[in-house]
Amino acid sequence: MGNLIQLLGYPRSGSTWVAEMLSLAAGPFVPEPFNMFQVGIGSHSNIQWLRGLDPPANEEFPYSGIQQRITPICRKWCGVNLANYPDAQAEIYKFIDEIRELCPWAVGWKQLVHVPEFAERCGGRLLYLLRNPVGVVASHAVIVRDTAAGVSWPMMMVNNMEQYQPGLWATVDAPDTICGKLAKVYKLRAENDWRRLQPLGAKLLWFEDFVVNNGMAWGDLLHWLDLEPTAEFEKRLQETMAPTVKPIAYDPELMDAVKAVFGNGWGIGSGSA
Amino acid sequence: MMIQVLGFPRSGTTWVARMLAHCTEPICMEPLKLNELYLDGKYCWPGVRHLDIPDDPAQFSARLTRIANRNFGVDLLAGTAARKDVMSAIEDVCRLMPWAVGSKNVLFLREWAEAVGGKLVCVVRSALGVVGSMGDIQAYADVRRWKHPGTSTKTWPELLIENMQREHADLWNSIDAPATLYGDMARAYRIRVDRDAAYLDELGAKVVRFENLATNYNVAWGDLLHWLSLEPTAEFEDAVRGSLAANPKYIRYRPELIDAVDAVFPGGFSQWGI
Repeated sequence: MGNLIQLLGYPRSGSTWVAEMLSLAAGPFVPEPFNMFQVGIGSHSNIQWLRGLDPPANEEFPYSGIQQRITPICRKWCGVNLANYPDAQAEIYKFIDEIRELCPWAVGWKQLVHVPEFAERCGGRLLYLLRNPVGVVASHAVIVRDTAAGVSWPMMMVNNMEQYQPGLWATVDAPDTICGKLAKVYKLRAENDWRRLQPLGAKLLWFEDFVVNNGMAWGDLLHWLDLEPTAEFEKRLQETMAPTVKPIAYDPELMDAVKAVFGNGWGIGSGSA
Repeated sequence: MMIQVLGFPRSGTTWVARMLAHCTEPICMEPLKLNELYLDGKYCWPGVRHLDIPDDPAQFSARLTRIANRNFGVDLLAGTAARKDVMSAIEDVCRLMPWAVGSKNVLFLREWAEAVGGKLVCVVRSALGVVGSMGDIQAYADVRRWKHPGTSTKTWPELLIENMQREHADLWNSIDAPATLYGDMARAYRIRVDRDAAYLDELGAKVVRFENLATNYNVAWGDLLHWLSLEPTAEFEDAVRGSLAANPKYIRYRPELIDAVDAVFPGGFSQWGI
């Protein structure tokens, strides 16, 4: 696979930002091929990651056909450890192979669903990006609350895990709240993914390190990838690091869930009440 | 309400203390160090009010500095002369400078927590950030020594390593690390933070991650302020956002740093985030 880089991660872990930054040192990154097909390539055609890729136009490529087949599969299995479901895993592998054949320009991407399958099938330099659970679960909770109709994708993962992996699901104690369920999915999903990615030589990354300890963390990652920081990269890093304005607020449901599921691990500490 | 912000040097305690000072009483910066740097009147820490200083600040400062330099980084066992020295220094600070109690401290965290109590906030930062920053301090000192050959004062990372190797040889040797200065710094950080964070946790401290407060700031600060029974003021919100403005550092690969952190903090998935 040569210089293929796969940026793998859990949704809302900062993978879009990291992918955008890497695209300025490594070349174009295609964001989530599976998701791309769901949304339609047209809506992505202007983003800078696709510069130089020259993807076929909508009318020249069977995007919608692929999308129609792929979306239900993704929805059914997102969040589930497919090693326990060989038939589903084979189906996902098939889709991955199809994408590689039809859209070789889309290989070397950031990917958030079926992470181990993409890693195993496509190889390359594997990066696994995680973020502190407080940030991830808070972000997922906003998506759940803002979804007016249908089932939000975070709850889809919850539902799938409860249905297909009840034994595993029951191993983690959590408050019976939305945040409790979202925290459980994150812990189970991330720990399982890392167990499968680590033997493949993946590099574990923490989003917070890239923001706070940025010079050293980016320096290490670029070196690991045999890349150099370009002037464009450094300029964009500076532009994107200013924080977005969010109100400082105590969210008891969120904090109770994260503390119950992650305990003292994952760098969140405990603290007495 | 007494709040103590405690953490290993370069963990972000100054920033945390400064931000908290916008919601509560001023939080003094490191009383032991304060004696060394500020009491001579050349500097005046903006958060400090009602400065009543000891009668002979220079002598007081020199005594505290000697005690701090000699014992920094060491587990002070009950009944030892070292512990008596440190506890006596803390008592003197409390007696002579009560305004400096309820402070941030990066030295003798356990002793400050035990002697003074209050709501304890323990700040922990990624090993990459802490050890990298220690390396910057050392590099700066090395340049200074090269420019001024007569300068012989040891840096605090050097003192820390020296003290720990002298007093905790077995513990020191139990951790594998590259035979480099970064390896020694990583070892010193791991030994100290492992023991202090766990100890403070048992005392009911809230252990917070610097990176979390800086990145997931809205929920992380919301949780910490709630725990401290404080409300975010408008001034606080402005200060947090203002201080989080982009602070990109020179991007570079530092192999000795990375090798040291990887060796000393292995399997960092759940514990360290490295």
